[in-house]
Amino acid sequence: MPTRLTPVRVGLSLMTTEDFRAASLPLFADGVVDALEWSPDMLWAPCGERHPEPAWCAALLDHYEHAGRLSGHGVHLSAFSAEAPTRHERWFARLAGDPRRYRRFSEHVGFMSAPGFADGAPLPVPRCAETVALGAAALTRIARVTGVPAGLENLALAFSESEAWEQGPMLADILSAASTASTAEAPAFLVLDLHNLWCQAVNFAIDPERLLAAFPLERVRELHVSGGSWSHPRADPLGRRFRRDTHDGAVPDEVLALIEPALARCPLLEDVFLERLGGTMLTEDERGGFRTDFMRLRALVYEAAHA
Amino acid sequence: MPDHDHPAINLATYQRRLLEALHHADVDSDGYAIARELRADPLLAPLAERMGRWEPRSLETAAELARRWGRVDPATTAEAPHSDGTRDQT
Repeated sequence: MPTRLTPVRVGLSLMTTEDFRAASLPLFADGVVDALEWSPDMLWAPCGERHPEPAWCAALLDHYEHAGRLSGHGVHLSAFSAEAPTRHERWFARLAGDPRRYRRFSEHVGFMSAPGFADGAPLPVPRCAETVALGAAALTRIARVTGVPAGLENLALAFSESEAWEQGPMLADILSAASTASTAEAPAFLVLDLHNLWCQAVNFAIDPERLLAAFPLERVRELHVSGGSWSHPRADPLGRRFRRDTHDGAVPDEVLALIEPALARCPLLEDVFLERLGGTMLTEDERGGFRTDFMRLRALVYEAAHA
Repeated sequence: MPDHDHPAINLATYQRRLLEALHHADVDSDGYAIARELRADPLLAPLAERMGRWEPRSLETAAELARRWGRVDPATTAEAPHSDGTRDQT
């Protein structure tokens, strides 16, 4: 087992909605949220202006930014779109104008736009030289614009079992190419989303720990943990459910069970973030469940990090 | 030959054709119809081996995501981040 070189913090991915505020504020008040993740592009309007951060969010962001515990996480770049130069230029221009100072900044594998299609959920990309070049270029540019290490998050959706298996090696290729192109002091990193990994494992009947081992774990700096939902495709003659990463439910026990093996194999891990979509905690039971998820996650991480 | 060594994959063509097929699929289409459309596309012939492994239930789910979160915009390549953070995540 590798020796852990850094402490591990447990934090939240910040949403701007009222239900998220009500659910998370007791955790912040109790001082148990070690770090914060923020997606500034959630507030970037199409015509160029920036929606203001809600005051309560701004206060939290100020606090964690000044403590050096704020991670940035883009959601709208579509870094792997082969034909989206305007989208990419606008996104990077807005990132350059973002006043926040992050500890590191990440985006996602996958693409959501092409000529004629403006947005959507991220879709898989094949492992090929062009994919590696696009990903490495995006990471190099993120690192240059933000001045901090850049990373990529693994994708939940795959069209086949073989695509699930190729994602780890593809990410290794991309991160290696980006690190070569940038600087040795700020190597590109992996955001390993354990729910996304579990989605692929459960959808294609793969042992999740074997799939975990296929990723470049020596590059993991952050873990993401979340819940999701099920689709029921008619095309499956066996009637199997299909897991999706919708961030709208409780964290499955199977995902929490991956915390210990992930921490054991990711020696440079620094932050674990719980993600829950705003607008999905409309009852007190749901908000209480979110806090229970966070405290369970925190206990598991602390136990595994100090084992 | 592994796909990542194949020189003929055109990523732009793959992305355009995949999004077209997912958006064309109506709510009554199952994943087999989407798979048939993609596999019959001569521009995607270099990806035939890969597409042969695609599971229709995965494509059907992707079409469901495209219907829910995707936005067709013939005038531009893309530019419209959401401001409320509500979409399928990754």
